[in-house]
Amino acid sequence: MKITVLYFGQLKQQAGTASETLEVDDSPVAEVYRQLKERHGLSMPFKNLRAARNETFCKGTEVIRADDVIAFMPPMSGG
Amino acid sequence: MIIRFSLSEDPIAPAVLRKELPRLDAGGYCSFEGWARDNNLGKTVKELTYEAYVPLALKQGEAVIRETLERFDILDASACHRTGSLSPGDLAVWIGVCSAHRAAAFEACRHLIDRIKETVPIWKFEAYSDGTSEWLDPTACGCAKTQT
Repeated sequence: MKITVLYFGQLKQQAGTASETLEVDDSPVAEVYRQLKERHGLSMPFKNLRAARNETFCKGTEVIRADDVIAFMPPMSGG
Repeated sequence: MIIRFSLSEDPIAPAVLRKELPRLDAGGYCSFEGWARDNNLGKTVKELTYEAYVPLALKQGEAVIRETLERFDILDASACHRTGSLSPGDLAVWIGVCSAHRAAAFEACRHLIDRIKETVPIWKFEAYSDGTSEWLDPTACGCAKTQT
């Protein structure tokens, strides 16, 4: 199934893109990140990130569904 | 009751945002302005860029304002955060809180800026005068809680 992944901040820089469309199996969000971390050489472990599924914060154990938009976000640094 | 969190690609105008807060049952107003600093960890900052995950930042910004209104004895709260490119001295974030009595407004203002910094998906990129640049990670230097 197809999902869209969004990257922000230093993750975007390391991935070399702000977003990409992926073909994945039913997997928890953290597992999708683990695969992307390996593929793009992302430096940050999942435990340091926040993730969102369809514009709502989610846990790494949440299982993705077709057409989901998954965002991987480094620690916030606004203000 | 005003619950407003906004993002702005243009310079923030505090006078305009403040106009929405006064009400006859309020006895005090407290505001916080976060400014773009010209230095960070010994380096001279030439330019800053704020990036936001806009839909989630708006949702989370509103959530932290609601949480602040529930937790403190205040009447209204409003906040605005810049996105895009800023120069040192520019206003990066503005917060306004009004309450019947001053103590709650001071406390809520502090709480609100802390929660925005910790939980609203906005990231700062700094370009330095020595030609280097980086995305800031407040957890990397252990300064997220200590540099207030």
